[in-house]
Parts: sequence; C-alpha cells; structure tokens
Amino acid sequence: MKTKLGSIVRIFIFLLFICVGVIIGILVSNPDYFFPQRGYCLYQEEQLEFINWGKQDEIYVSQEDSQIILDNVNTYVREIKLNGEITGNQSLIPRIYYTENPDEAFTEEKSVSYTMDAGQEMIFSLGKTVFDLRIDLTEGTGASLQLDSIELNPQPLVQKTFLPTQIQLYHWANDGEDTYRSAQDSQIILEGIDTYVDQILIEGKLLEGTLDPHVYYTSTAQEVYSEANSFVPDIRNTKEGLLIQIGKTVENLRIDLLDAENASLQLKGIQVNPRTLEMDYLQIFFWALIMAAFAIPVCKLKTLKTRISVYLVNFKKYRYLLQDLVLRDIKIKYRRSILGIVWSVLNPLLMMLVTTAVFQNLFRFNIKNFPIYYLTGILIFNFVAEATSGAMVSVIGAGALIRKVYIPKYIFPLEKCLFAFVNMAFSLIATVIMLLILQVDISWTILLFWVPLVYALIFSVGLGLILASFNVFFRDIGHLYSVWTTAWMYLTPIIYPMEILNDTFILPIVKLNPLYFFVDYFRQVVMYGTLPSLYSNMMCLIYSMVFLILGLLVFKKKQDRFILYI
Amino acid sequence: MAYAVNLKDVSMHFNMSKERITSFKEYMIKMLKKQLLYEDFTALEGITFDIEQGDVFGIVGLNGSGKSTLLKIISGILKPTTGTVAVNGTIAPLIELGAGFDMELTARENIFLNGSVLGFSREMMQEKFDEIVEFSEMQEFLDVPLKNYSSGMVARIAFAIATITQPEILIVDEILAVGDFRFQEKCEARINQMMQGGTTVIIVSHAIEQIERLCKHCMWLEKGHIKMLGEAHEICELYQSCEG
Ligand SMILES: Nc1ncnc2c1ncn2[C@@H]1O[C@H](COP(=O)(O)OP(=O)(O)O)[C@@H](O)[C@H]1O
Ligand SMILES: [Mg+2]
Repeated sequence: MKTKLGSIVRIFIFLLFICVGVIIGILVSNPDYFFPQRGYCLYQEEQLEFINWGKQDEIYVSQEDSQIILDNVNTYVREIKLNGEITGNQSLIPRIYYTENPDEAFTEEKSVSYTMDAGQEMIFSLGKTVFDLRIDLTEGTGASLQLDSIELNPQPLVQKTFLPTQIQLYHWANDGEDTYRSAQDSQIILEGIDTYVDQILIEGKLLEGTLDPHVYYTSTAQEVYSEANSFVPDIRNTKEGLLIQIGKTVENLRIDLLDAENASLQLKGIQVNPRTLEMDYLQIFFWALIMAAFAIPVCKLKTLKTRISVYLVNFKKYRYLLQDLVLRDIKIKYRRSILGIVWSVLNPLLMMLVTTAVFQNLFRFNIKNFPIYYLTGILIFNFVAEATSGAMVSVIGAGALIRKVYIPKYIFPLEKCLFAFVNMAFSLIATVIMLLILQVDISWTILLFWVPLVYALIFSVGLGLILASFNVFFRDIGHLYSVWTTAWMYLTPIIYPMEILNDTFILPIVKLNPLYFFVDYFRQVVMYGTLPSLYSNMMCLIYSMVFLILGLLVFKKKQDRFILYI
Repeated sequence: MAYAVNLKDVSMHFNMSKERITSFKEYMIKMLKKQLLYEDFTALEGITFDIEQGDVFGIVGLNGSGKSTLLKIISGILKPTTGTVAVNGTIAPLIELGAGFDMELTARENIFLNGSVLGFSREMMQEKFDEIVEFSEMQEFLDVPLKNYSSGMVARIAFAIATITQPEILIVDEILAVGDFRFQEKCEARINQMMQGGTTVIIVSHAIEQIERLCKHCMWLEKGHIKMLGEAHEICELYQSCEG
C-alpha cells in the first residue's frame, strides 16, 4: 500500500518536472512572445554622437549635413522616438540610415526618409534589425533641436484583434457563413489601428484561387490613401492563415487584391501583430529531458535544508585545502619556467595571428575587429575545455589522497575549474592588449566582463563534476571527450560569424550550445558595448545552474563508489 | 549511555572482478553480450558494536581480517555497502599518515598543506606551527624538500600534525611501529595524554602487549566477522593462545 502511494507520488513529480521542462523549452524558443519589451533602448543625450551641429545654449542648430549617430544598437528596431522639440524650420525631411553588420558602411540603399513637422511627435518606424543608426537632417538647415533622449522601440508590440464585423470588406460577395468571393478590385480595410504594425494575420483559409495583396496605409486618420504610401508586402501561408509583413506605424490599413478574381476566402478575423507560439520541438525535448533527469533525485530528497547546511559547514572547513591546491597547481605551472606567465599571454596572441591570417584571407568573413572577435571566443572556449577536462581526471589524480583521508571529493573537480579560471585571467591580458592596439571603442559595459566568465565557471564546475564521476568508472571517456571538444569548438561561433549559419541545419544546434550564449554575452559587453538582454541573461543563468545542480546530483550519487575503482 | 561510535550491521563488499572493466567500450560490449560478471569480495560482514565515550578500544586480528577497512569506515573514508555508522564527535584518524604530502615541496610547505588536507584552518596551523616543529624535532631541516627526508622523519612530522588538536575520537592504525624507539615512546606519551583528557581511542596493533597495556575493551576480527568482543586482557590472552 505504502509503496503504491510512493510510486504515484513519484510519477507525479516526474510529470511535474517534465512539464516544467516543456515550459522552459517553449519559453526559450519564443523570446519575442514572452519578452515583448525586448529591444527597448534609451539613449541619453550624452550617449549620442552629434556631427556637424552648431550649439546655442544647450540647443542644437542644424547645418548643411547634420547627423546624429547611435552606435551599437544591435537589436531589432521597430520604432525610433526622439524626445524633445524642433523649432524654427517648418518641416524637416530626416533620413535614417542603418547598418546590419558591425563592419558595414552607411549606404543610400539602407536608408529611409521621413517627413516631420514642427510641433509633431517625432516617431519613425523602421522595422529592421540594426547594428548602427544614423539620423541625417539634410534638408533641415537652420532648425533648432532641443533633444533630451532617443528611445528605440518605445512601446512593446501591441496586439489587436479585428472581428469580421469590425472589418470593412469592399467588392466581396458573401458566399454564406464566413466565406467570401473576391471580384476585380476587392479591398479589406482596417481602421483605427494606431500602433506599430509588424505583421497582420488574416485568420481563415483560402479555399480557391490566389491572393496578391497590395498594402496602402495612412499615418493619420485624416490622410487619404495614396500610391506613395503603398507597397507590395512579403506574405507567408501558415496553419492559422495568411501572414503579411508590414513593418510600419499606421492608423488605417487597406489591403487591395488586384488580380484576385474569384478567389474564395474563409475569414474568421484579422489579428494585428499576432502573437503566435512557435513550437521548437528540439528545444522542448531537450529541456524536458534535462528536467526529467532532475526528477530522479528529487524523488529521493527528504530533509534538503538541514543537509545543505551540513554541506556548507563542511565546505567551509575545507576551503583552505581548496586554496592550497589551487596555489600549488599555479606554482607548479609557473615555477617551472619564468616564461610561464608570458607564455600564457603570448600563446593566444600567436594563435590569433595565425587564425586571423588564415581566416581573413581564405574565407573572408566580414567580421569587424576579427582579432578581438576570435580572442573573446577562444578565451571562453579554452577555459571551459581546460576546466572540464582537468576536472574530469581530477578525482583519479587525487586517488592517493582519497584512499587515505576523508576529504569531500568535489573539492578536486572544483579546484581544477578554479585553476583554469586563474589561467584564463592571464590570457585575458592578451585580449586587453589587442583592445588597446586596435583601439576598439569600449563602453562602460566592459565593467561587466566578469559576468559571462562566472557563468562559464559555474557551468564548467557542473559539467566537470559529471565528467569526473563517469571517468572514474570508464577511463576511456577522456578520449571521447577530446573528440567532442573538437566538435564543440566548431559548434561555437569562435572563428565564424553567426550569419553564415542561417538556413543550415547547424543553426538550431548552435543555438542549444551554452557556450554560444556565454561567448555572445562576453562579446556584447566587451566588443559591442551593448547591455545583454534579459533573454541572454536568462539563458546563461539557466544553463549554468542546470548543469551545476545536475553535476552535484550525479557526483553525489556516484561518489561513495569512487574509492572502489581508484 | 553516550557512545562515541556505533555500528549497526555493517558490511563492506569490494568489487573484485578479475578483469576490472574500466572502459566504456568494454562495458558496452560486455553488457550486450551479457557478460558483466562481478566477483564480490566480502571484507566485513554483520559488524555490530559500539564504543563508549572515553573508552580505549583495541582491535586485533590477522592480516587481511578487515581491521583497516573497519577503521576507514569509522573515519568516513569508506562508505559501508550496507548498515549504518554513527559517530559522535571529531575524529583524528592516524591511519595513513602524511596524506597529501608532496615530496617536491619543503617540510614547511607540507606542514600547511597536510594541515588543510586534515581540515585545519590556516590560523590554527600558524598558531601550532612551532609546536609541530618542536615535537617532530625538525628545526634544522624545515626548508629542505621532503624527498631528502628518511621515512622515519616524514612519519614524525605527520604524527605531529595529526595530533595537534585534542580530538574527541583518535584512531590509530599500526602507526606506532614507525620511527625509532625514542620517538615511539614520545608518541605513546602523547596518546596517553589524550586519553587522560577524555579522548576515545581506537587502536589497531600487532603488538599484543601494547593492546593489553593500553586498552579497556577489545575486539577480535576474523575474516571480516567479529569473533569475540569484551574485556581487553581476556581477549588478548585467548588471541595469543590461538594465533600465537
Ligand atoms: N580497496 C580495496 N579493494 C579491494 N579489496 C580490498 C580493498 N581494501 C581492502 N581490501 C581487502 O579487504 C581485506 C581486508 O583488508 P584490511 O582491512 O586492510 O585488513 P587488515 O588491516 O586487517 O590487515 C583484504 O583481503 C584486502 O585485500
Ligand atoms: Mg591493516
């Protein structure tokens, strides 16, 4: 009776954990859905770069070719909002230039022009993923601009639903129920949208024929539709209906179906900025699996709290040992040769020279500051590889000690990770040297450089504990792991840019790779001067904590049997 | 009655497979062929006893009867395969002295390293450093690498470090045989001093007269089983007449 109840509880816990895993999977594969604030940036006046402006008592006066530059935006920009006031010149024609890659120049092709009247709100919609932004005021000589700040994506995407009764249909014949038949110049009109429209979704099904939409839009309620404010959009057929890409801030919207005679459409409604969940089954499966692994030990936990406090007291007692072991490893590594420290700085620099020479000439990846790009990537990768493979053999290496005295055994993998961390600190000097030589613009975000390193450390400790446990029983794990690290290096964007993976099967794998998140975080704060988003932070945190806890559980389960095998 | 050590139905099995499988490849092949055979070796079986606080407890038995294994279980180095072990108080295990000694480092460095291996704090080691040096009589050789020491000298340092604190339980495994005669006397004097201070002592020794002289209670182990348990002089007499 008791065991039956126990197994029911156990199954329940299992299901609960798998559910949590599925939720995490859905969450991380739909960042836009769950983090609608993503991409919001605020540029204060002092963060903006003013070029060719005159200045009178804190007010900027535009000249021949005045520009404002926003560096390192590095996000999807729906809207740009200028907070301030324009006076003087009656109407201005600002032009917004954008680049999509770090090393691209501003070109006419990648620019959009707008009109702006004095006294009006200054909001411009763009709808592009942008690296740098430049706002030109070419035809605006003599305007005075009092600018407090610039906001990117000032408001999250607003979702709106239009029911069939709220949609105006012109030149459509009703075929009964909610089915309509198009004629020569059928139109669908949506009024009073009044927000930034990224996409609209025509819910329903195309029963016959094809649709070839042409979109007209107005920015104010008074405006009339004109050819100037119209375009042919990208469309996509999905299970839910027809998805139309807009990317504009609009008041009213008219969709014309020019050559769509006799198409039959079942219309259930129209969604503006539909929020659709995408099911990335690889991600969901992965997280469900990991959480299922957690459920096993949780089923056995009883008095977790008292146990943890016992462990903490024990850890405190042995912290001197940890310190001594790290110091001893450092002494051994650097005492042997005086060149030791110099070498650990020189090594990454020489590797960088070789790699830069080969990859810049052979493959011509368009990466700005390639040496830094490479160094930042390889720094984290080398650290994780060194820490985990050191931790893997640490327990066997400490066999003599473990057989003689009681020592908490996790000390040994932990020590190897900390030792690798110290080594990384020396290699970090190489990165600093290159930052100085190449005169890369750094921003205050560089102060956060340690955050991804700590994430990587926690992750390595977790993975190291798992590897150490298995290596005691199977000594050939080491060979397998060295093969894996080679593969792992190529699955991490160290020498190539992420863009070359677009539309390949490798992309989803790389996006599961924890090192990708750590490296990306590191580059953001060091190279690009951007503050990593909540999503980046969450992914780094989840990965490091999940591996740490998993490692502790595996290690704890196996550790009593180590001594029988070493 | 307060006990210092309490063992209930403890057994220890070693996995003594003839060809120990240490590779994943082999493991998979053997598993697929269903050839995963383990030869189980039972080093201890059904051990149940307790030691009162303040007792001096001797363990005798032939080589291979499981004495060291039992001490390792009490001090937490080994986890028993079945059964429970309860220990009341701090343990100073003098089982394999000088664990963590690095022959490349000097005596001074090793004293601190061994101290942290035993879980002593840095401050305490600094405080007791002179005492350790004095006891082991190593003043002149402090900055000489340990590899230049004789094994007797190493044992002296190790003993000195392991006994700097007054533990609640002291475990001594045949270490009184190391070093010269004069140092053995010194060690015994220190152990005596601890007994006076109320420390529970567990001694394994082949010198029966030593056990008889020091211990109150005694246990006779034979092939991993308790053969006898009781007053020290009775057991020692019987043991000597049987085995000696
Ligand atoms: N780690 C081990 N693996 C396998 N067998 C072991 C191990 N440790 C001890 N044994 C076996 O257990 C038995 C008892 O050993 P031990 O406790 O050292 O005996 P004693 O100290 O009484 O001489 C011996 O037969 C020994 O071979
Ligand atoms: Mg022995």
